[in-house]
Amino acid sequence: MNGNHYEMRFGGSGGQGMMLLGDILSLAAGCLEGKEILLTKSYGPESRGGACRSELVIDSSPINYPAVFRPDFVLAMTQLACDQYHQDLAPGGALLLDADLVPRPPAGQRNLYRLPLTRLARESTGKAITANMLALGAIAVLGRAAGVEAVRQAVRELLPARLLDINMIAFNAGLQAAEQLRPAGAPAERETARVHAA
Amino acid sequence: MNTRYKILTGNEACALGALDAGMSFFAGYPITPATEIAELAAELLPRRGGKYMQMEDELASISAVIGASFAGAKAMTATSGPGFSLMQENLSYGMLAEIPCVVIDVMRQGPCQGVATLPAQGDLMQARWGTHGDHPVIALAPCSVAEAYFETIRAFNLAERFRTPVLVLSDAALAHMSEKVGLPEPGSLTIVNRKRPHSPKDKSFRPYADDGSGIAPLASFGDGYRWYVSGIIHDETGFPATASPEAISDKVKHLLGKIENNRAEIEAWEEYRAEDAELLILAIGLVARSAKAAIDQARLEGKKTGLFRPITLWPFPERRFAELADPCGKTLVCEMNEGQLAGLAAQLSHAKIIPLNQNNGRLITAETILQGIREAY
Repeated sequence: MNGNHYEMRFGGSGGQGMMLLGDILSLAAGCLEGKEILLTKSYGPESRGGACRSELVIDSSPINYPAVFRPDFVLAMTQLACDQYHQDLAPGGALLLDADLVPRPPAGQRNLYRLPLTRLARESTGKAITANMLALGAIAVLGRAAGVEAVRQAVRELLPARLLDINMIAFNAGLQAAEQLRPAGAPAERETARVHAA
Repeated sequence: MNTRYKILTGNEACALGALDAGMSFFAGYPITPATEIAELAAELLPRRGGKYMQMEDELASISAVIGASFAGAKAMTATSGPGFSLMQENLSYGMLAEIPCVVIDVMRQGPCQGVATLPAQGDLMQARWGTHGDHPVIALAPCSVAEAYFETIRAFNLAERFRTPVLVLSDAALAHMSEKVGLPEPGSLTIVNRKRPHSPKDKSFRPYADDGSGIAPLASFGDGYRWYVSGIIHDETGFPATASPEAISDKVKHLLGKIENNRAEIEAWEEYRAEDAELLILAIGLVARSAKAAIDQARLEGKKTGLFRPITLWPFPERRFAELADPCGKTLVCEMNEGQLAGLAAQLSHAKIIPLNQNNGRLITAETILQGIREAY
């Protein structure tokens, strides 16, 4: 894979907002930053519960195959998603886990980021359902999908106005949590990742 | 920031393309993996002054579509294999009565109910020969979400231009994946509308009389013209002409000829690194994208490989295919079926045809095609 090819997988349970994560990052990377994107979604018949995932391929060149084989970034919001997906990670790939919902992280995993995303969502917005926006903030810092400002703009474009405030609070909380998580002195993967919420 | 770009699924692109082409009527019956086309049509058509009709099955859906088109609407339905099978009888009604419409067939693994959620390319020959008798067929096969949008528009334009049903062959993977689509500025699209008659609305009206262009103008039900429309072979009055061998022969030749004689207007294809190729790959839809990646890799290995991708599947761009395939000597035909295009390729070209078939609900990967190239080269 060339240096501009970037594969992401967001795995969780129906209702945790994994599909929306893919939509937001597609808009940010594809429409706002002008990259090629290809997004696929997989879910069961349930509207709540049941394993689900969205997969996003980002590239500077046309994308030929609509699937993720070796993700450079995996978000796992359930133990099942973590168990199923971590071994697919590309060498040097990053794994972001909900620290409470994934109590057994893979042993010896490099670039492992554990954040209590759902707990932080409850603390910052009072709603566990905003955990995906916390994850989105963390992904904007830890991943290479799109710059923080593009992600923020995509959130504004995709979410209904009445829900924007609460989701922005969660997004900003995710940014800050991920910034603190990064070891002191470690460089951000992209300069824009340092930008904090206004 | 370019706000003209949107992230759409293949199904959304078909629905939006249809709306931008002027679709004013949709009738359908839900079926995985095509349902989202109906959903979006149901949401957007009423807001744009159009009509959405939820039908009881696919036989009724295609009948309603043909009826609506006969009444002057630009009409479409969307389905998948099992529903496409049910539509075949009335598709030939549209072909013989020369009523334009568009049918999106989102191909899924067959036969029968098969696997509803998984892609396949099993309906290629059904699109060509699914209904009985010699009949005209135009079928378009997009390979990306953007192309699904633009080919749906082209399908409407060709339907209106040639007064015939036009098929768009998508698949379950293209239907549900999202890509970036650059939507054209409003008003910048070329939109074709059917010719309407201007002759007197009296007994002299001949609904199927050639106006010199080969395509008769189409009067709408309710316009005031009195004419007889049926699925029986007819002469220019529209009434049955079953006693006349000449009239029967003329009708069939006219229906086939309006496609055959206008190939240049209908055919579309893509060639990729094909000029100096020593091995040609024939593939359509998403498989062609895997083929491109495989071709790039094969060329790094010194294997001069190129792609011929029909965008218009029917009528098959046979002359250009033969021009490219014959000098190569070998053609690798990659398809998600048991060899529907391979048989055709063997008829059309002197090249040795090497089939690469995968029929398991999974898209063919670049790696699989690269292996095929290495073995065939």
